[in-house]
Amino acid sequence: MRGPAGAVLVGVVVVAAGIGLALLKVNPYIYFAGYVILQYVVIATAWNILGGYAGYVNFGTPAFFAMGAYTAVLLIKSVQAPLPVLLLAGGLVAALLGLGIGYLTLRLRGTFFSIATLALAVVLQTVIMNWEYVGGSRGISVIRPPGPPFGSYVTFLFTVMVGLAVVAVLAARFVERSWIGRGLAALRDSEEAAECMGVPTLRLKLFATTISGFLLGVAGAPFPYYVTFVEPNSAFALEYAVNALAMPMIGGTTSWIGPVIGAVLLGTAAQIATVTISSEMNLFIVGVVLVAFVVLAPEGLLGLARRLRGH
Amino acid sequence: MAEALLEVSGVVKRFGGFTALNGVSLAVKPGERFGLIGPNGSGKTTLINCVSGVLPVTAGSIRFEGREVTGLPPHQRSRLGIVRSFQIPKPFTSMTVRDNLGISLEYAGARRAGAAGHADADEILRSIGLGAKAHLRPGGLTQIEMRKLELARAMAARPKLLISDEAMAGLSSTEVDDILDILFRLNAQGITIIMIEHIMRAVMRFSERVLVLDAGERIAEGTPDQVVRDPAVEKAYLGE
Repeated sequence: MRGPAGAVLVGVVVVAAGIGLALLKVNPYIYFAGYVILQYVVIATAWNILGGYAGYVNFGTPAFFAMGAYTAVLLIKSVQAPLPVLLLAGGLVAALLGLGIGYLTLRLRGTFFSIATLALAVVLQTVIMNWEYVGGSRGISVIRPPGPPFGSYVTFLFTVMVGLAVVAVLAARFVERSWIGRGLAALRDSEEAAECMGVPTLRLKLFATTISGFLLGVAGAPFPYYVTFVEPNSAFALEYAVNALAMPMIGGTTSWIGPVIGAVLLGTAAQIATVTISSEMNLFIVGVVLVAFVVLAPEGLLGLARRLRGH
Repeated sequence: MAEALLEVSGVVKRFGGFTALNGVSLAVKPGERFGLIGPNGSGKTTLINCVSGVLPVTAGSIRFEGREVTGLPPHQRSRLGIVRSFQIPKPFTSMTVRDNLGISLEYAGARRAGAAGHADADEILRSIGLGAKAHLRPGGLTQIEMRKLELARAMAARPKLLISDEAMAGLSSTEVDDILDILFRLNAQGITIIMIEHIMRAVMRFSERVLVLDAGERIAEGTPDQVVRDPAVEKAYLGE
């Protein structure tokens, strides 16, 4: 199961299991919550390609996610585009944005890069708030297409998100194990040394920012159909910025499985907290867990496991 | 005289109003051991940064094997065969020592990874005396081992020209001899070497030809013997 073929096989099994679960028609809340957790698997995985592999910490996740969501809003309102088109277009717009921040890395490194991405999110949110066609600051209602498979639209979106999560994780795993991943790890450790040892650092960074942006945009594209009412504060929510970096850091940033573990654990905990305590507890829990990990296990659960095995 | 391997002509480097290099020219022949010395702040490292491509030049040109490389980014220069080590070691800290070499092997050297890359890396590590440390992370290395890793990683890039930027600073005299031995061996394999060094004993023993920089200008060039007797050099190091 170590080769790419084995990984794809596992991916297919996961998608089949997702469809199987959709056919079971269990409590609708399961699909509703499952969608959010899977969406975080995509977001955390996408963030980690840039933040974990290349070491460029992006605080602007909401900007990319919202680009996907608002591209979808625009296409739904203007031409009633079908879901596959929304996913692709949302991904491409966010990928372009990613390419743009890739060029920022020419001049901005470390904290300065992170601050720039944060500013980007604020600027884009302001633009959207003043764009009446997509709802402006009041928001916009989106009507779901009729007759979804699996009976309900949320159940259908759940299966879509299973597929997207599998694609994102496979992509991240492929990047990590290829020459690209090794080059990104080298430039994360020392950009100057990597460049002097033959690593085309700019090209690799542009690749990382673009693919990371693409996957974040794809994660945001089904969002309008999921919530049916899109407004800037929910599409640009702080939660995305915090979770996108907290989940990989808790799981472990150096391997593709880290963000998956982090997203499933933290995403599930947040869903349980929302139901049993209150929705405000979400970010509180994430914050406390993140601080604990940064102090006690800076290499995440994967690093902790390695240390326990004595490596 | 044979065609120069590296030819630097009239290189000027300014940082704002400060001129770090003021029209420096030099030519290094294939297979040569070339020493670059000068007091602190004389522009040695700046010159090396311009040759390796880390810094763009303000004016002048750099040719390698007769080819203009002045506008090329560092990764392309290293693939052509201009490889440097760093004065302050910059290892890839998240990787094992072996994987550190794997990066330059894969990206600049033999262009291969996997098992063949491993074997190449292990051979280089053995030849430099780091064979037993291949599986460690650089964090667990001593100061001299770290310097050796810098050289080993540069060797893995299969250089034609190796620029060693103060590989011996802060080492004991037996350790200096150890590094010198390695550089002599590399040179015997046909690798041209530019050595930048403060330790006079090492540069003078190693170099066939020495260039002296002072305040961004070339003040002397010649065999080690000629250079130490040069009044301009004496003045630069000791004052009037």
